[in-house]
Formats: sequence, structure tokens, C-alpha cells
Amino acid sequence: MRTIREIHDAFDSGRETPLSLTERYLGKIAKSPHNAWITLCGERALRQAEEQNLKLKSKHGGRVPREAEPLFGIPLGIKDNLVIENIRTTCASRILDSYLPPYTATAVLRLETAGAIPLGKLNLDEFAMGSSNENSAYGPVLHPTHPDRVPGGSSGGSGAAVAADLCFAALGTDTGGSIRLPASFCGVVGMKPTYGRISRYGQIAFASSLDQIGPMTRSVEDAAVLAQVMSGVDSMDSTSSDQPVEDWGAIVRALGDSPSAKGLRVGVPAEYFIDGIDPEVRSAIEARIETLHAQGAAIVPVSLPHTRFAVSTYYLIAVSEASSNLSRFDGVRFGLRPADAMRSGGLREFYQKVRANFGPEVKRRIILGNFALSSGYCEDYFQKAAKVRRLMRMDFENAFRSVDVMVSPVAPTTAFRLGEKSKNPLQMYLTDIFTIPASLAGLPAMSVPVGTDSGGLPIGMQLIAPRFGESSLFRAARIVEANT
Amino acid sequence: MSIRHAGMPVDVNTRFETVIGLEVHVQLATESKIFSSSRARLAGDQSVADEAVNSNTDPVCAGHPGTLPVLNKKAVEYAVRAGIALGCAIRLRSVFARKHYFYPDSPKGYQISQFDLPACGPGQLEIELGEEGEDSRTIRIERIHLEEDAGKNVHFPSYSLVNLNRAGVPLIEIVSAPDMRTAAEAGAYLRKLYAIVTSIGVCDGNLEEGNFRCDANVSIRPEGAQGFGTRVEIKNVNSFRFVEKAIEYEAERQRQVILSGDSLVQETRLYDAQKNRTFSMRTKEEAEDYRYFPDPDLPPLELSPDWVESIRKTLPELPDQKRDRFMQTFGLGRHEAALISSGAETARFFEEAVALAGAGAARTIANLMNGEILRLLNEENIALGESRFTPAALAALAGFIAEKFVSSTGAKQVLGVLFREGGEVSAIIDREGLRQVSDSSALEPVIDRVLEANPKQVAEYRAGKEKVIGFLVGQTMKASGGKADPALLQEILLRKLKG
Amino acid sequence: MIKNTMIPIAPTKAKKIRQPWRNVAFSYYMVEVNEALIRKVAALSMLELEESGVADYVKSIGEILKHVEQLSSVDTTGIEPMLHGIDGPLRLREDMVEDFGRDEHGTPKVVASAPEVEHDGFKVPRIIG
Repeated sequence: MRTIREIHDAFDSGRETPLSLTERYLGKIAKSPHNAWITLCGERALRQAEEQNLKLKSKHGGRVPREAEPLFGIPLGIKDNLVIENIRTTCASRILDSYLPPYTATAVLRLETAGAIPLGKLNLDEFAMGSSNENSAYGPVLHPTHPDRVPGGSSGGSGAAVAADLCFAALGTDTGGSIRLPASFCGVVGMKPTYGRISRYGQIAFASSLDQIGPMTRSVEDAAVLAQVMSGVDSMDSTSSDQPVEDWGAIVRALGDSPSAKGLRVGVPAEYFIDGIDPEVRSAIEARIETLHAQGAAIVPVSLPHTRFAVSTYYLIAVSEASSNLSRFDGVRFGLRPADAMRSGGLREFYQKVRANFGPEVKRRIILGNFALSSGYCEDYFQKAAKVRRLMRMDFENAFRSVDVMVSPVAPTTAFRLGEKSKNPLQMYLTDIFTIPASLAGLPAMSVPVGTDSGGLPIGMQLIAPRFGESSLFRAARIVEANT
Repeated sequence: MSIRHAGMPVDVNTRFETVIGLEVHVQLATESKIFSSSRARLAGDQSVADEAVNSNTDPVCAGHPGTLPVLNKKAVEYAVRAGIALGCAIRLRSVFARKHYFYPDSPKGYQISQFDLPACGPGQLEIELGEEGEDSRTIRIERIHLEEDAGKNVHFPSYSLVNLNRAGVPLIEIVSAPDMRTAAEAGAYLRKLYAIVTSIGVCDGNLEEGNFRCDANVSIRPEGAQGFGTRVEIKNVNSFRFVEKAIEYEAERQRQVILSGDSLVQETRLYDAQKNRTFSMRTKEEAEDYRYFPDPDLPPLELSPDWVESIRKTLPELPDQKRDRFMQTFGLGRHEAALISSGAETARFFEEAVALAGAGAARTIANLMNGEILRLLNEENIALGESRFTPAALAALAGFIAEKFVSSTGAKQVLGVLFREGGEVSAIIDREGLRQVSDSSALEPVIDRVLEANPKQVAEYRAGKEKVIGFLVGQTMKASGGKADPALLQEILLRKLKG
Repeated sequence: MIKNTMIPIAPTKAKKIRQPWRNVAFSYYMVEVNEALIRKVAALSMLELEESGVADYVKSIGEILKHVEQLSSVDTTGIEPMLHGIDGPLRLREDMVEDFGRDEHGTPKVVASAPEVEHDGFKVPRIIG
């Protein structure tokens, strides 16, 4: 069973129940070697599943209430930077080791209201800062099929768990590619909505103007259903958008099994097909572009001239916002407080003892960010990057005048080896070269699996749509998926 | 080598002037916090800061991970109201920024404030100086911005405790230009500002609870100098009188430092009211780099001109407008009218009393309020609204005075009883025996006795030393137990002396 | 790797950059990333760096800042910085009070997960001054 529709059919026929499915997943998790989970909430999940079993029989006459609860009985994994009341949330950092949040993230609340059952919290790079999931205080996540490889980051636990079928679908968060990269490396569908589509309330902030929650699933249709459930304005998030949310699930379903690409204008940005891309990745993407063409899509070359500045722009903005967001981790109101902290000679010593529990990459970014914001440098670094960011957004607005979606590789390579880039932060940052621009411009973007390389490692194709253009994004993604 | 300061040579004979700019934090009287829904205000004089520790908190104002600020519309409305009342330009687009510093009472490690695009632009405030408010000066206001308050730390010998009840309470900071030159001007500015923000309902005005707090930037320079001297910031003084004293102390301290040949340090100082001195808190070198940048969680605040206009229309009468109306309608003097209109409560009380007693009693009522009533309230340090005084009682008393039923001395006694015990004015007059003697047949024997007892003064008067009449009036008043109608007394006395 | 996204990394030196392709209006000084700078910013960040780690931070942060120097070649004259993910205007909330409440032990819910609490206050070392 690969899709929510199939699960619901199985519930209807009685072959499966929310409880049996939840129990099976918990059993698989217990035996999995991937280190994808940091915390499980098995008892809570079983309780929810039991209630649904009862409800299914007594209230719904054995038929899944698909309209009211589109995620009825679906076991999910939640990235551990999203809070659930009284379930330990760590952000994969020692500094939050024992944090029990007093509230639940809006996105998770909406999924639960739609019937989903969270199984636990998934591993990630500490505070979502990383591209390989090697920066977790709880150890790296292993690639679902190649244990010597990284699953991608920062939503590495989410990617691996969905690919290894340790949960039906998962939530990731994407700041510069943290959903799309692990989706590509692990061979699952990963979707980052338009900035503002899904409330960030309850997402522990990395870079506030870039962060977005999104689904990681095994099908485009399921990604559409999850995204739709979570989307829409939230009174707790001033940056959530009140743009109407379309029925993306229905749009994808209506396309059927052999959708036509007729009328679809597909942009191919020249700057994304450059030297340095792994030839196998390049040919897989180019083959898919050929297929789209064969299915009736118009292929249009476009240009995004500021692409080469994306990584610099992104890192300055992301680290600046991160250094500010991470100021609240001071050991006063929550989180870890070392045993000797109260014996500090003063406040500075106290703060330093607490904040020593950030990992090395997080510290590096806090320092970089505070540098970029500090007086005398803010104009040349942070402000300058914010201006280049505007130019990059304008690049996209220009290009989207002539196309509906753009396609590109998600990453220049397939999953790299554990340890391959961890000694060189700059090389690691450059992994995100193709995912960062859409993040900077706030655009919806997706990774769809399009095959594997000769070593069997998955290759993902990135699709990018204009702001609030999720409908065309899901349509194009379904066409790619159906033709793979 | 001669000493120079602010670009001019100085010595012991140099006359210095003080340059003062004030930053005032006004707590806005919203029910909930600026960025979240915890309670920010309690009825009466209580403060949320004094409620059970951390009971008025939520994940947002306590800075829990994953929380986001959502701006309170009322706080914006109040900031705009204050801006309009202070003649400020209202910015239709303003931006919230993060101001970073680590301190336990700052839950997020940054304060959400406004930096380069504040809610209100330049404005001004007219202040009155001199005994009778005869001189006026215009003080420029540079900006008004919205921000959140911090929590409070309570200190114990070996640790401190953080209480976040006050964290996230909305404030506006009103920043003046360095336009004031004396401590008295600073005091007048603060009193006027206070009168305005309380009369337009944006601030509860409880000084003890820190509803209205002031930082003063103080420097001195030789009279006639164009440049400015090194300035010192005096932090967080919350009484008008202490601000004046702190400024006076600081100006003198700076003069002595300069004349001793030392150079002043740009620094932040605290005022110790008990010792009446300021002491250094931190110097500029230790000052923090606040790393301001626009808060990515809060898109720019945009106001519609219609909304601003609707706020302008509902703005109540301002103290200056009230003062002018009281002068025109009731014939009050400028100083008298200014005093009555300086507080919303005082003005309302006055108008209610006048409405009951008639416009003819307005001056009497104003005199009672500005005189004995104010004295009694100040003595016990309570507000008019908390006292036993009522507009009805005051109107009744004014009526008795107009009918010469009670003398002004007697009226003071009535007010004293009202203040301490309350009660009916006529009953108090009767009980205390304060009914004025306006009957000449009752007064004549008293006067006769006084004249008999003071033959020397009577002789002097008759010999042309008319000044002595004052003494005789006083003696008669005393003999009547203060109950004599002074005009009648004088009339009979003169008749008898001349006759 | 992706050759044309990389700028050659020059040795760390504080000097005026002169490059022919650079519009003179945007030339500015490279920052010298040294131990003193890293320590200063770390102090601002309330981070104490382990002695053994400082050199690594100097090197990696130096390389990253060198890379981002490329932005100085972009003409951003008259460009409004993009500082938010979403265009305004800001939505406001009504002035309504909601009590966040206490847990089953009567502790304010916001305090329940604090590491050290006394009388419902967050305990910290004594603040001097």
C-alpha cells in the first residue's frame, strides 16, 4: 500500500485498521537501524489509533470519513523541530535535550484534526542546520538503502523514515532545501510550499523569512493532500497567508494515471545546468524533460541571472536570522542547564555554560550571523544580501512570465558519503545551490524521484512554481511522476 | 593649559547651560499584551507585574521556541492616538526590529521594538513655565515607537528569580529632541506629557507601577556654544521630582568634572533618590552592539489613512484645549485653568461639580480644587478618584460659600472632614458649628468687646494709622471662632471706628 | 564541483579589492578574519570557544566570508532589501485576553518545563547591579 487512498480502501474492507497499521509501524521502527527517530510517542499513537478503530465502527459504519478526515488513521513522522505539547522536542540539539513544549504546532494540530496519528519525532541536523544530517546531537541518520551514504539534510530522518517505510508520510521543514534534498537523496516526494502557506507557529525557527513546513511522502497525491490539510491562514503566525487553498488532492486525482502535459509551459533555467553536475544526474533530468516534451509540454529556456550569488545571499540571511532566533536558548525558561551553571561567577559565565551545548556547526552559524548583523558590517553583509535576494526574486518573476513551472536537478550529485563534506562547511553549503533560489524567492518547489544512478542511488527532479502556484506545481509533479 | 569644553574655553566663571533630551516609556492601557493574549492590565491600581509570579504568561511572551508575535491592534491605535495628540506625523508604514541583548528578563534574547521606521515621526509639545505659566516653550518630539516591555528580576542573596508577567506589556517610547535647558523645563515637559497620555486614555498613569518611566540625556555646555558636550544617560527615573533633582545633580557633577580638567565619559548612570546622586552603570565602551534588524516574523505595519482619520476624530479634548475652554467659559485664569485641566480625572470632576453648582460657582470650585483639595491629596499621596470627595459635595460646598453660609476658613475645615470621614456637607457644617455669622446683631457685641480690649490700636487708627485695621479684623475673626462673614465684619468695624 | 559558482579564495588580508570586473562604486574592504574578530563576535553571541576550536572557526568563517565577498560585485543601486518572506501588510489581532493556564500541579504551564524554578519564578544566578 503506497498511498493514502489505498490505506483507506484497506480500512473500508477491514483488511487493515488504524490500530493494526500503527502497531505494525511501531514494530518496524523498533527494528530499524537508520537512527531516523529521536523520540517515539508510541503509547499516545496507540491510544489515538484505538479511538479511531472505535470511531470507525461505531460512528462511521466501517467507512473511512474521507471528507471530514482526509488523513484518517495515517501514521506520520514529525520532524523534531516541530512541537507537540508534552512530547519531548530536541531539535537534535543537546541544548533542548529535555524540553517538553507547552503547546502544539499549528501544522501538527491540523494534521491531527484530519485524523493523522503522529508516531514520534524524527532526527534532523541540529536546528535544521545542515545538508547531510550529520550534525545531529543524536547521531547521523543512515541512508535508507546505502548505509555508507548520507540521507541528505536537514530533514534526513523524515526522508529516511518515509523511504524505509517507518511511517506512512512525514513532515519536514525546508529553509534552503532541507525537504527537497533529503527527498532527492532518499527517493521520496518532498514538497516545500510557498512561504506563508503553512503556519510556522510551533516550528522552532532557523531562519524565519525562509522556513517552511512541508510534506515528505511516497506519492505526489499524498503530498498534495497533506499540504492542503496544513495550508491556510493561522491567527498565530503574522506571516501566514490568507490566499485561498485549492483542493490540490482533487487536482492530482483528476489527472488520472496517464496525464497529458498539453499546454504546460516548462522552463529550463540555463544557470541550473552547468559544469559540475554529475553526468548521470544531468542525463536523468534531461531525459525527463524530453518525456515532458513528448507528452505535449512546451519546453522554454529561461534565465535566472543571479543564481550564482544564491549561496552567498542565502547563507548571510539565514545565519543572521538564525543567530537572532537562537538567542532565546539561554537555559532560563526551558532546555538544558548544566549542573554547574548556577555556580557561575556572573551572567556571562552562566550563559556560556548553557550555550556551550550548541553543536559546532550551530555555533559557527551563530558567530557568522552575529558578525553579519554587527554594527559596521550589517550594511555590507546582511543588508547587501537582502538586496541581492530581491534581485533573485525579480529574476523568477521575470522568468515566470513565460512558463508555468521550472525544472532542474535538486542537487548536483546523488547522496554523498558520510563524512565526505563534513570537514568543509563551504563545500557542504554548495550542495544546496539549486534548492536555495526558490527558498530565497519564497516559491513553492518540489522534489520528485526520477530514477537512480548506476550505483542505485535515487535522483530527484526539482519543480518550481510561482508564488501560490501550488496547483500547477502538483499538476506538473504528477505528470513527471506518472511518466517515471 | 586652558580647559576647553564643547568647543569653547571654560573656567570657574563660565556660565554653563544644561542640554536635556528625554526618552519616556509609556505603558499602554491595553487589556492583553502587545504580541500575545496574556493579560497586560488589571483594574484599578493593581499591576499585572504584582500578580502571582508568572501567572500572566503564555508561550509567546515567555519566548518559547517556535512561537511567533502577532501585533495587538489596540496598541497600534493607542500609539497613533498619542502621536496625533502630540502633533506627530503618523507613519502609514512602520517596521518592527529586533534589538538584541542577553538578560534574564528578556525572554527571546531580543526586544521587539522599532528602529529606523517608528510609528510616529516628528511632533512637538508646548510647555508652560514660570509661577503663573506665563512663559511657554516648544519642545520638539523626534519620534514615538512601539515596543514590548521586559520582565522583572527579583534578587536574593545567592540567586535571582525572573518573573515574566510584565514581559510583552505594550509600551510607547516618546523621544524628545535635546531642547530643554533646565530641570524645571524637563519637569514641565514630563508633567505635560503625562497629562496628555492619561487624558487621551492610552495610559493608566500609575507612576509607582512604572506606567510612565523616564530616561534623561544630560550634557552641559558654555552658554553660547554651538556644539554639544559629552552626554550622560540617566536611566529609569519614575518620579517627576526625582528627574528634576537628578538633572540638577548631574549638571553640577559634570561642571565639576570639566573644571577639574578631567574629561567626561559617555555613559549610562543611575539616580539614587535617597542619596540624591547619580552613579555609573556602564560606559559607552561597554555598551552593547544591539544588532538591530527588521523582525522577519512581522511584515511591515501598514495603516490606512481612513483608520488614522477615524482615530483622530475620536480623540478626546486635549488638556490645552480644555484649559482654553475653561478660561473662556468660566473666566478662570490661565494658571488655574491649566492646573484643573492637567489631569483627565481632575477635569472631569471639575466639570461635573460645575454642572451641578452652576457656572457662577466655577471659580470657587477651581480654587477649592487647586488649593485645599490638592494639598490634602498630596499630603496623603492619593488620587482624587480614590478620595471621598465627590463632585456633588463640592458643588454643595460652593453653594454654601456663595450664600456666605460658610467662610473660606470654614470651607477648608469642611474639606478636611470630608477627606477624612466623608459625609454630607450641610451636616458637617452644622455639626462642626461652621455656619458663618452674617447677622450684624450677632456680630456687633463681639466687635464691641474687641474694641474695648484693644484701646491702643483703636487710638492709633483714629490718629490716621489705617493699617492697624488688619489687626482688628483678625482679632474679631478669632473672637467669632472664624465664623464671621469677613465683608460684614469689616463694614461694621469701620462704621464703629469712624463713628 | 560547480566551477562557475566559485570565486577563487584569496589569502586573508585586509586590503582594498581591485578587480577589473567590479564596478568601482561597489568596492569595499575585505574583512580580516582573525582570532580577535572571532573571539569578539563569539562574546557578543555568549559563546565561549574552546581553545582547540578557535583556529578552525577562523579558517572556516574566513573562507565563507571570502566566498560571500562576491556579492559586492552585484549592482544593487535603488534595490529595496527583501527582509520578509511575505509581502505585508501586517495582520493585527484584537485586544482579547486568553489565560494560558496552569498544569495539574497548579504551576503556570509556561513555567512547567523550566530547569530550575522557585515560587514559580525562573531561577538564575544572582544578577549584580
